[in-house]
Amino acid sequence: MKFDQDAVGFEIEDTGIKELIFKYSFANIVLSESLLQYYDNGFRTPEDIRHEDSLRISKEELETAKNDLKISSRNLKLATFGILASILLGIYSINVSTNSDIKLEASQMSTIENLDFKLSKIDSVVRNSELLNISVEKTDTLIGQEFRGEILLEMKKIRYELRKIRKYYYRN
Amino acid sequence: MKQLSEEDKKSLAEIVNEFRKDKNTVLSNILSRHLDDKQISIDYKEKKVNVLQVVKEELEDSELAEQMRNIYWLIIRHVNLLKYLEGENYLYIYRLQCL
Repeated sequence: MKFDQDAVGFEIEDTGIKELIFKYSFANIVLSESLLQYYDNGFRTPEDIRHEDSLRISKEELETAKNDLKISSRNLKLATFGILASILLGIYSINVSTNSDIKLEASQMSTIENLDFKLSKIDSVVRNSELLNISVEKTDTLIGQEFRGEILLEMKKIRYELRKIRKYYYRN
Repeated sequence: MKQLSEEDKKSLAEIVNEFRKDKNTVLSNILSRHLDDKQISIDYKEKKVNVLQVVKEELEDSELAEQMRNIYWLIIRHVNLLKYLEGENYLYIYRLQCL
């Protein structure tokens, strides 16, 4: 390239810069292996790479710890839920047992049914006496003859069964 | 190694590429691809360094000044980077000829 009066330019006057230009213009430049590696590793020194590796390992460990924490937290929630469920079930079962209807035994049922049958018979005798215009004394005698002893016996049985039921109820 | 700026990284990439291409690396080889229609004249005896550029009609004065400024900063950036790398023992120099 040839320059004549059609060229413009400037002179570098900084002595320090000029010295450096002289130095590197008339000397062969040899790069060290470490500089080439620094360039090949994306401008990272071995210390940078080690630091990044340790940082990556720390991050991975942190992630593992986070996952462990999540699992522990979930297990804790499950355990808490289990404890609560067992407590609630206990309370519920107590409630159900105290609020449930009391079941009568077969003998208790037959006693009540027997009494009911006899009372309905007395009722029919009283109604018939009224229809036939029989006096109250006469009716009372008729009932007394036929049922008095039996009814008193049935009433005793019922009282006894009721006492049993009451005891059972208060015990629970 | 200090944290290099993006410009310094570009300069270092040029230096490494030039070194891998030709082991006889000198500053002029590294800078030559940026010179285009410019010339750096070095007068060692007179201790003068001049940067010259061909005047083109299509170029306005401001554009010309901008190009001259760019080449000036390019030279400064490269020599300072070379000085730093030499100081840190990342590169070595040896004289080509006796002056």
